[in-house]
Amino acid sequence: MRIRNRGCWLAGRIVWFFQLCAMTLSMCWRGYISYKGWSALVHGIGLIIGYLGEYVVLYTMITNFPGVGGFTALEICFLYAMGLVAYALGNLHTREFWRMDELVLRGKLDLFLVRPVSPLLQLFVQDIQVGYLSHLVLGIGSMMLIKGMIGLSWDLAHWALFFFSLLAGGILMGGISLLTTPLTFWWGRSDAVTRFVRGGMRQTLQYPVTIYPKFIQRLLYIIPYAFVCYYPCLYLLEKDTSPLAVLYPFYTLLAGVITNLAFYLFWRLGLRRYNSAGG
Amino acid sequence: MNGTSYLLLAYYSLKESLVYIKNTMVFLLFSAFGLLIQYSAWYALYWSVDFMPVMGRSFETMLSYQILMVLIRSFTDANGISRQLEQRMVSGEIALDFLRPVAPRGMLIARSWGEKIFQMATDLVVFSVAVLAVGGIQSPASIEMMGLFLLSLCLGYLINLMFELLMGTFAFWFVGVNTLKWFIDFFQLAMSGAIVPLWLLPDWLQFCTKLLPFQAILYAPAQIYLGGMSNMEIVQTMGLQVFWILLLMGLQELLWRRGKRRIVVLGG
Amino acid sequence: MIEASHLCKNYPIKNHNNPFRKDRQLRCAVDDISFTVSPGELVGYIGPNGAGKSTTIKMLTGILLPDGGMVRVDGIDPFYQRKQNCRKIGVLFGQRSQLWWHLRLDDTYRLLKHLYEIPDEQYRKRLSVLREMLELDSFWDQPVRQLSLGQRMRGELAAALLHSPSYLYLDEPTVGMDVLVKERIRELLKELNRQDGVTILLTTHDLEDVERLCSRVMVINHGKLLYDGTMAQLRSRCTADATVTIDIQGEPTIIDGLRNFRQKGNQITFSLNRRLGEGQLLAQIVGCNHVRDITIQEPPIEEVVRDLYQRSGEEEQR
Repeated sequence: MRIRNRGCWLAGRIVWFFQLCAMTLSMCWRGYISYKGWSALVHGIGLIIGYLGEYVVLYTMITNFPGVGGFTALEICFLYAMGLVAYALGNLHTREFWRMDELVLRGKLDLFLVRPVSPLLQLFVQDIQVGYLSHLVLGIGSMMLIKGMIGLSWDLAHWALFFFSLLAGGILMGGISLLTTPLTFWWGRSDAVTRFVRGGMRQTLQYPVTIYPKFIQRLLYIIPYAFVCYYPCLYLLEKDTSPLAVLYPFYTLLAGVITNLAFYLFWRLGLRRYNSAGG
Repeated sequence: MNGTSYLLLAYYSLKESLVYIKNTMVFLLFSAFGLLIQYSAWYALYWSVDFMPVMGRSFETMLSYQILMVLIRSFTDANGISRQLEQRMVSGEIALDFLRPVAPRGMLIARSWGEKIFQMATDLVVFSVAVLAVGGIQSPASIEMMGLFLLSLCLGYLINLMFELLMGTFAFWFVGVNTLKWFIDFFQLAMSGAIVPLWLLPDWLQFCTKLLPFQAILYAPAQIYLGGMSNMEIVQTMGLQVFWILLLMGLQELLWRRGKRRIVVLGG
Repeated sequence: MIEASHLCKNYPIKNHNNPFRKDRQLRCAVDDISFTVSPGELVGYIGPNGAGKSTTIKMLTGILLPDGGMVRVDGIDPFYQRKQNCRKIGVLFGQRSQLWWHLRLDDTYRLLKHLYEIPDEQYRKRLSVLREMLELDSFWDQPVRQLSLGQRMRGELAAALLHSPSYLYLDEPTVGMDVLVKERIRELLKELNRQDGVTILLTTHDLEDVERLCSRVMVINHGKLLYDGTMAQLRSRCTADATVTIDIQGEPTIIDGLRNFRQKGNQITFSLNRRLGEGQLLAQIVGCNHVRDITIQEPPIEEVVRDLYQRSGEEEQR
């Protein structure tokens, strides 16, 4: 009986959470449109032109060579597109943390601490980046196109694991973007480190991990960029044909869970410091 | 209109940049890391062809190109003049700028030089470390070539400067030039040879890049340095650079004059 | 009822000359403060910048954990039972907005309704009451970025009050407002307190806020509570001078010992200080003149409080 009540309560919470997401998503969307207006359209078009340029250059450059790290030009483009999708998914909900100094130093966090909901949850839904939806469309669209050009034939498992990998990559990317943000609680500013982890290291996504020097590779396992799209691609592009390759997308999820958990614990520690030192 | 006030402006903005020494470290880290990633990629690509020349360029030439690009990009960067121009227009400060004894555009350029000196110093560090790490890069064929390279570099900077000013001038009419500029930067990165040397692109794409001013900013000076051009081609390239400068400058001046009138009308 | 007993809060001070030194110096931001606020009170909490006002508010609202002493709000510990406490309190930070900048007010309100899980019926009723009381209708359809400061503050107030809190904490609610808008906000707060019985605790620099609004005032400086009581009593403890102006019929007769004495025709002006026993002088001068009119101008409230701060500073030096 008690378990059933618990279950009902949990279901209620989940419904409540999704309602919250829907509500803030609509708010962010309307805010975005009212702020950007027509320039939102320019934004979208500019984005597509910019990325198309990138694709073309990346592709034509690599076609001069047999490949890089065992990946052909088209496969590199696939990797690139997957990195794009993961980045967009992972930063849908984390933008509020880009402004950690405002939250901590100027005390905006206080606003979230006096409401009866976990501040972390509120921060996630506070500024949903609807602008990244165009990245998603572009990324997934181009992946479909490239898949056709490579001539891969996927069975149902591949399709399922494809979407699973995108999602898991997004979760992992979100964790990576967040990972270093609580440093602000100690240093007052952490944007330099965070920008490097989120922006600088992101460049590594477009090539197979194996081409980098050893110390960078090691770094890519500590801050697990290696799992964002390289490992799932080994399976999806059938680079690794051993039966165990089917596990690679799950590595991504595992890395995502661990990264997010690490962030959560780090955040808790930081919040405790905020609570005891007053920022 | 006296030179000292511009020098002073540049000096103050240099001092301002020095305050953010922490940011510098990040710049350093960013450029060094980016260079390392590119090096890895080129190494892996050339490895797949057993380090044979591709499109007539050896691995060494490619490396020299990439390392040289650090300096060229640093020098030709216009340090966000268009962004600053837009900010001043949105906030209405531009109207005040017209009342000052120094010309608004001159002021922005002077300030950007302060930042630029600082940025070039940090990029020089990255450049030197990279050169030492790979054991030296290719040098130009002769002293004259070096001179031509420097001249072409300055022309490249002027093109970029004019382009930035032109983009900023659009802010007289539209809000959101900033976002647009962001994407153009992105496009520019691909089309100017900043990451991929244009000799690797197929002919039709190389032709496309010739129609845009971007390749004249970065790729042209680098080509002259590496000796990939005949004397005739050098003359042509520099002629093209001058053409772009004049075109962009003329366009910019025209729009600027019209825009200025708008301020008077709006400012009432 | 808000109870605070022997509250303490220390901050470590960073050694700016040498950031690598690890010796932790502590600065007392709040030092052994005790008070209780009964339901329905309207209390002003004043002190200069960095006196410890905000720190106290943060401890009362459960944002900060006190280093010593304890806080109870209706018997609840605001830090360890934060969520329970949050449903009972409304907080308004004058310099930090919780409204969504690009949207209309009711978007924020609906989000808050969801966060606080306010039932539909109750929400509708509450909103109509607040709309009327805070006069939100005139700018209801505009995005927040287009509102004036006063309008926005009314919007913020409604957001803080939506879940019908019994306690309202206001941190510098009138900062940056012009005189008329300030007056309007004060009236609203008074009305809230009287009609809804909301207990209000507000911090401010602006002593006029306190004088107009609060039945009770607490003064803090250097982390210590200097005064807790009514406004009138605060005045009487004051050592600052009052200014006496007397209209006299005929030629005034002057006595010795008047400070800052000035004469302008039949009108004389001088300073008077009750604490120095100068009341006598007033009696004498009234005795030997034919008085037409007397005005005693009490020292302005700023003077009173400055005097209080000054004395606390002197004590500290001793």
